[in-house]
Amino acid sequence: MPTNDQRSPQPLEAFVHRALRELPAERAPADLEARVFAALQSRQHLPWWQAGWRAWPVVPRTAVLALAGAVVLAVAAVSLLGAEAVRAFDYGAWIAARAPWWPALTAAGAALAEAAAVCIRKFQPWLFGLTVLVGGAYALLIALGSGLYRSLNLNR
Amino acid sequence: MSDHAAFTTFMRSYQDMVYTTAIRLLGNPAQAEDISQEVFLKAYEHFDDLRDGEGAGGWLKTVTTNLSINHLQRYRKRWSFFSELLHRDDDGGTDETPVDFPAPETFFNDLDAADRREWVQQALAKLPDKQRVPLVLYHFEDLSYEEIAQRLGVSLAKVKTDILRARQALARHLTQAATEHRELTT
Repeated sequence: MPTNDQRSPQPLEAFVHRALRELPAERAPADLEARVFAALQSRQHLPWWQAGWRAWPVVPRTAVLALAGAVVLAVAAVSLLGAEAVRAFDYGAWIAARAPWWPALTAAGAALAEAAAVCIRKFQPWLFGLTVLVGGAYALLIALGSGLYRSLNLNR
Repeated sequence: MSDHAAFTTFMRSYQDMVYTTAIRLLGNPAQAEDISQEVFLKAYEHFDDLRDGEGAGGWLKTVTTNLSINHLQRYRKRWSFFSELLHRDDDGGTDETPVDFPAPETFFNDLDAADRREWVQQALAKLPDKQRVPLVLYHFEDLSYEEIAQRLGVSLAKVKTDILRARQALARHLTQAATEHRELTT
């Protein structure tokens, strides 16, 4: 059998293309038509609310659209009113009335924040270096992970 | 013509094309039949737009291709972690290996067309999904490498490699089949 030595892909591509394009269309199975009509019939026996949205009658479709619109308006109204109420609410007093330890906790938090600010002022170059180091190590890990994933999984 | 009769005519006109597209992508007759059924159920929902026949073939081909690829990707996601990582080069082909393939003038002129088609079909069925799908999209659906990469969600380099390996595997199979055929007949 004479053969071509494939050094460049073009002759191989042309050969495969011609061989594949010669293939005739497959014949669909004889029962495909019956299966499709059986499935359509069983769909027609479903109640309308189980059918696709396009198949719904006009009245329920309109009702659902109207209901959805009303819900959107209600949510918008409640959000606006709620936002006003949220702004006006005194959270500190509300929490303090229910949790007697709250003032102590906020004082401790403020002291910690002050201490952290002092530390940052005093050790700023060190903290900056540490942040760069941690960020760099994190980026390196991400790069290594994605590189390994690509070489092991994607480029097959 | 009633809707039922019109849809029957429509189905009869396109069912071979839909099934052929599905089976070439899926490589499995039962799955291809399921996908073909799903395609025609969708077509029925859009039959008002499709019944005039204009663009129906393209619509059906696109839907069949999309459903078949989605089906394969769902299946692949389930198994890839366990199988594909362990069998990276199960086809045995490498990009650098030169492959002999039958001389076209001999292969297409001297051999029986029915034999050739059978060998090509066998070779196509033997390809793993990751090679058969891009090969079919390139040679049958006329998609570019870039479009295939985008559609399958893989890199352009991978598409090119998989298609090249698929062609090499096909060529190897056809060379072997043609050689054996020649030995038997001489």
